[in-house]
Amino acid sequence: MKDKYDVIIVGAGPAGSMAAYEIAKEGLDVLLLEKDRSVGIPVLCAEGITTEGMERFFNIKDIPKQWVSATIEGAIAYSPQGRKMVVHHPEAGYVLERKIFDRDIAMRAVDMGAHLFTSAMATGLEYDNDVLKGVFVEYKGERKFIQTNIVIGADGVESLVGRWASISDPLRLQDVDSCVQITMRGIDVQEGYAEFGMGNDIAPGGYFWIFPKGKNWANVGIGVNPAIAQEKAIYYMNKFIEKRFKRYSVVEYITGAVPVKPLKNISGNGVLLCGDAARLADPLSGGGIANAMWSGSFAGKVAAQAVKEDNYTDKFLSKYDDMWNKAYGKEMKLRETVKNIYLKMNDKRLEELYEIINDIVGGKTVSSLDSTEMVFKVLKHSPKVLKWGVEDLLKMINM
Amino acid sequence: MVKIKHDKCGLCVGCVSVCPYESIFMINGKIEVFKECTDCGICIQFCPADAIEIEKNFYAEEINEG
Repeated sequence: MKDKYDVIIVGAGPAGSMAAYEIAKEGLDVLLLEKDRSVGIPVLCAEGITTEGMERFFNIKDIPKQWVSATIEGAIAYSPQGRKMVVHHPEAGYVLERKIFDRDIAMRAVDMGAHLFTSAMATGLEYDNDVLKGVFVEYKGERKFIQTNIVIGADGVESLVGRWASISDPLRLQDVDSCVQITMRGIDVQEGYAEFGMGNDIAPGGYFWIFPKGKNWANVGIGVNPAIAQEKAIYYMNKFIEKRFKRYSVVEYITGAVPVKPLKNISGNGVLLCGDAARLADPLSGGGIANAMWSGSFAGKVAAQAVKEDNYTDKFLSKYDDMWNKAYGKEMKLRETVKNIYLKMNDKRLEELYEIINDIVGGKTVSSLDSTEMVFKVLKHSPKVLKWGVEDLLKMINM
Repeated sequence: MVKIKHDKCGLCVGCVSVCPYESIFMINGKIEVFKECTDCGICIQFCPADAIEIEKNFYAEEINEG
């Protein structure tokens, strides 16, 4: 590890590795720090990503087989009463093998020229008159100071970089989902179909998921909103498992925090945040991999530009906010608004909504599930939805 | 101070993300609580695994009972 780098990235998940790749590609000196011993472990993720999210960076035909546990060709959704709807969606997405995927994209950044270390934990930022001077790092029991003028925080939902730079505050309970997931083997699942279920007794403020990783195994999880749920996520999970699986084996057990409200600003003085650190998981699905790679790649581009122009002010770095908002801000806001409507629905409403969606896509084969298009279809099918407190949504789609 | 039930903890660090007092951190692969903890209970409300509890003060209990 050197004493000085053009850019330092904290966190070698998909966001950090994509940022490192972009910076190294510009011929700059970039340090990528991972606090855990191995890149990719532990996996804190349901591992689902849409084809669209993947093909933004990789040629689908060239995706290494070992990255993909299984492909997703459709969805099965359950209403609160347990009614079942199937939607076929060929090439909808993937359930990844994140342990391998994360390691490979970190190595891809290294091959481009990035400098990566594990068991290396950032412990603080040093500012001098509002100008970033460097990062304190604990590595192999030693505390080092490494100079840089720009840091990318890709350090996950618990981001300390964001707090040090006064960009983020502690998460409020309503803005984070509380999740439990078991990777199960020896279960009956429909290969290729992701299952989802909702209901205020089943998963208050969230949903349960089954992402098949093969013919007899899957990531099975549940997320609840802790500001709404009366019990812990593990309680709803146990109840769900008891109902659904007679027998299963546990390959992996994890808990998780999924941010469901994006930060207002994702950059500050000398600092850019990306992925879960910027709380850019999809507010509706909680999916975070695609947005992590996307924002990480933008952050890398802006950081490289900042180094070349020797300008690290918050004003210059707000280019990154603009870039993200232009690319995805509107869609993100729409999804957040839909999510807020969902949070207010009781089971009777959810059942009605389920019925409408079933009429529109149930049993059919679709080629995309664009959220704006879906909102229009629902409103056209059932104008009664207009009375469900959807004013914010209507404003957003200019109706 | 809240107490971590390490055998139940899933190490998701959600508690670190929601703590308003920056008094809970992951240190060497284990969640640890620091003296700034005010027993506000937000981490308990968040914890998916039911792995955090308010530590009962042994002496206070004795006084209440006695």
